[in-house]
Amino acid sequence: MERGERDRLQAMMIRLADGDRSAFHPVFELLWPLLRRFAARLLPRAEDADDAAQQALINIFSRAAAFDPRRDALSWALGIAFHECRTQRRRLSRRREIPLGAPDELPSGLDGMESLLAARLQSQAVLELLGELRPADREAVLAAVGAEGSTRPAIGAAAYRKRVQRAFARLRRAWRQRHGVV
Amino acid sequence: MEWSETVPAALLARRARRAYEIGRLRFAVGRAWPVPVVGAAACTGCGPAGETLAALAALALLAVGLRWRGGVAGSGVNPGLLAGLLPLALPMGVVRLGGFCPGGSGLAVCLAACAAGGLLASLLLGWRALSLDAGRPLFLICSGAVAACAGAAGCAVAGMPGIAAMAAGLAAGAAPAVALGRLAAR
Repeated sequence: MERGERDRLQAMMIRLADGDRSAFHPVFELLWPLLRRFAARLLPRAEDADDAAQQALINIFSRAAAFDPRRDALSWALGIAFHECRTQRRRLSRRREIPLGAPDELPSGLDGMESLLAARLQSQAVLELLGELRPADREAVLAAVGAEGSTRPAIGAAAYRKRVQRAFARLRRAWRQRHGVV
Repeated sequence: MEWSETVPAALLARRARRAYEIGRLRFAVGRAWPVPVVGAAACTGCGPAGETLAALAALALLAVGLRWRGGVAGSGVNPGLLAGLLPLALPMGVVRLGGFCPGGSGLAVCLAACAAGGLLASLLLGWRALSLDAGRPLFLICSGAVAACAGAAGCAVAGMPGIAAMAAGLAAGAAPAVALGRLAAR
């Protein structure tokens, strides 16, 4: 979402929270395509993504009156959408509708499956954010977690530690802005 | 697949709008918690129970309705409740601390307390309205109505004359507020 649209969403959400009904349609038109794209990234099947996006939209409007104008409207809305996508995945995993991979990869028990799904969902969201970081930060984070194919930058130990620290701080900040929680 | 194929936009917008209105109503009910507090305070008085309960019911409806509506109308609820504490507490204080119970010679003191409470509440709301950039008349009407209902619950200790005295005090205090508002608008 571009800066101008983001500012417009913020202004319209504040008006909607204050009870200005004329802000309803602008908020609807700004949020709906965004939520669909967001849900489509987190859920593999288009129908599930649509269901989650619709439910997220309903939840957002249901909570609009309690929106705090000091918060960023986009992060707030995406936080609700993220929660809804996770709920949808849990719901689907209970019905065992999501292909999780080869049967021998599956952990035993429902709790294990939920943990696996939650971990995959989270890691997908983290990877998206990693893609938005600066290349040097991304390289530092991937090297720090020992990701396959990553190499430690050719710098001194102290400088490397500092770079990793800063990169993780930026990643946390990006996560907080996008999803509202760390 | 286009989203319009799964759920028509108009239908989704209607569902979202309904969710928004229900959410606002739930929010308004949740924020009406001071009303039972005012009610509990008013019920400790020795006024006619029917009038007190009617005033409290009107206060609850008004607080929830205005908060649900939002905007300037909704922003008048809290100042109205705060200002309404004056005509609520003054006559009850007179009754409790002064030992005047309405019905005999204490009635005049009770009526004066109700009128003074109404006047002070109105002046307070007028002063608050001056800080607004727009919607002063609506703010004064909405917050004044809330203050009147809260005050009526307390002034019910003096019966209908007490409520009338408080209303007269509110009206008298509103006049300078309106005049000041017009001056400020020029």
